[in-house]
Amino acid sequence: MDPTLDYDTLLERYRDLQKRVTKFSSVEQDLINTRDRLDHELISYKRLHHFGERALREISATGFNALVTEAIVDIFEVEGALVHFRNKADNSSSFELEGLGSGLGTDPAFQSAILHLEERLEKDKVLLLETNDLSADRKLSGFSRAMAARFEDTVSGCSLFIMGIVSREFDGLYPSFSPKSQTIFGIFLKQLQSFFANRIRTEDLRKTNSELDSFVYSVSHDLRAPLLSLQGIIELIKESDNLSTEVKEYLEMADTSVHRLDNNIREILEYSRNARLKVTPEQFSISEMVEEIFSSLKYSTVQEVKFINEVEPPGSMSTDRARLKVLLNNIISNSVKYRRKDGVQPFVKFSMEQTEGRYEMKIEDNGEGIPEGSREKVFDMFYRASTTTAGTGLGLYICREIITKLHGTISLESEVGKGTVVTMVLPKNHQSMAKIKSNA
Amino acid sequence: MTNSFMVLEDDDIFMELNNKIITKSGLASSVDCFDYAQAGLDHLAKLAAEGKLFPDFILLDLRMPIINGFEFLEKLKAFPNDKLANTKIHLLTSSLDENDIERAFTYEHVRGFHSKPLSLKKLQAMVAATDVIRPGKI
Repeated sequence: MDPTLDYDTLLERYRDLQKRVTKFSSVEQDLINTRDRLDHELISYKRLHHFGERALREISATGFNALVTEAIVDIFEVEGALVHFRNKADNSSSFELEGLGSGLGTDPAFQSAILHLEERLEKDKVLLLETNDLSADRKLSGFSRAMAARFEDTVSGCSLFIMGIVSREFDGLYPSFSPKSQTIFGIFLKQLQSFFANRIRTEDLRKTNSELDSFVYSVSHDLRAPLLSLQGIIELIKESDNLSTEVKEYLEMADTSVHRLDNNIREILEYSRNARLKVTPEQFSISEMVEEIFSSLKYSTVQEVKFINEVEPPGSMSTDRARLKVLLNNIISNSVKYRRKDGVQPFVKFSMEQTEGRYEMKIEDNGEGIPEGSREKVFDMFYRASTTTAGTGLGLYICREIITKLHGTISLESEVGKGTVVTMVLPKNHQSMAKIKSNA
Repeated sequence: MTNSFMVLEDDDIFMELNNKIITKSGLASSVDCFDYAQAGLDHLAKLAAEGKLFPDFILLDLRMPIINGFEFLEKLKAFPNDKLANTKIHLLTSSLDENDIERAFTYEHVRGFHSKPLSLKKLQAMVAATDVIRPGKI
């Protein structure tokens, strides 16, 4: 620190800093939004900030007293502009607070705050500043007070700096922070502490999730491997000569069971992946995806099903590719599974329309349809509307779970003997976050 | 037919299955099977040293101990490109992971991604293919 900086230099540097940091602005965000985004550091820091500002409008000055009493963090000294912070939690707490003190204009304390701020700007991921308006046309007459707090999250290595400055302007009185300013600090302290506490929990959960994910991945692989080799062996036996009709029949049964078990494992895997993995939107060709699903189902039946893809290629869209594929695959394969068997040519038709903010996809078939009493329940976990085919009752449940994750809707219309239309609506708003992947 | 095959598969039953299907198919002139990736790499290095051609097809498992399928694909980059020019690599795996599929096709010589087990149909498709084969197509 250079204690010889004169006031004008200090002020100039301070104004320069003001341009570089995130400032308060009037924003109507509410805390509910904030909580959704707790794991996005930058956003949540800003939202917390906004929350503080909003609270400032809503909480009366007397609220500050309540805050001091309730706060997990002690604000144990409020004297003029000087606010000291003390962490009520024990020493093992993962964050620390630091009161930076106050000072008169060129006082070492004020200067120290400015210099500290400059240093912080270099180091910290996020930095916020609260101050009264020190725009160039207003005169700062010499007395200033700084109130500052630094928060350090040892888990992420992220730290946050909040600073408030008040200046003596026209009345020449020794400035002090208004109860409102103090409230804002109190709110921040409280919010930030719970934020950091949440971060630690989130970190733990994230670790557990990723462990669980690799566990599910391993288990599904390990469970499937012997099953798939069994499939191969059955296939080989089927090809050998001189098999009696009886043996062939048993082999078919064994084959069916093996496939069924494999499907069950796949569904559990799909469910688990959807529940835990982050939604990662990307751009891809929906037309290609549908073709891929169609051709994978082409040989699943003896009876020929007519597959109609009404989307003009490439039909570029942006959403979570892997999830959408599971979703479409489940619905289309249901159409194939429950196709009509009365001699009329069964078909499955995929179409998509785009409006301003959403994609509307339809999968239509002329299959056996869903009886009225079951229509509401087909999306429920383990519910099975058909007794003739095997299944876990997870397929459409997974679809609904996926749709929920993607903030969309799914609905169906069906008539027994005529067919079913499933309509899925997905918002486009993930697009901005999309990793643009070329489909070259 | 004059297709030479190399199979990398750590599970002995799959290995036996692959070997049987390839041999019985009549599509192969030779099959070399290795139950771990390094043995496959050593074999290729030997072929390179002797100035011999690399196999036409490599059937590659993804989950193998020590060197997995992706690591094998990375290590292949060390061989001169002209050696591999005619080699088509097909992944044969029990993975259902979309990321694995996308990742696999980022490698130049990967021409297919198949769900286990190998079948005659899949093998015929590999030999006949002019385009890459994505899972579920056969």
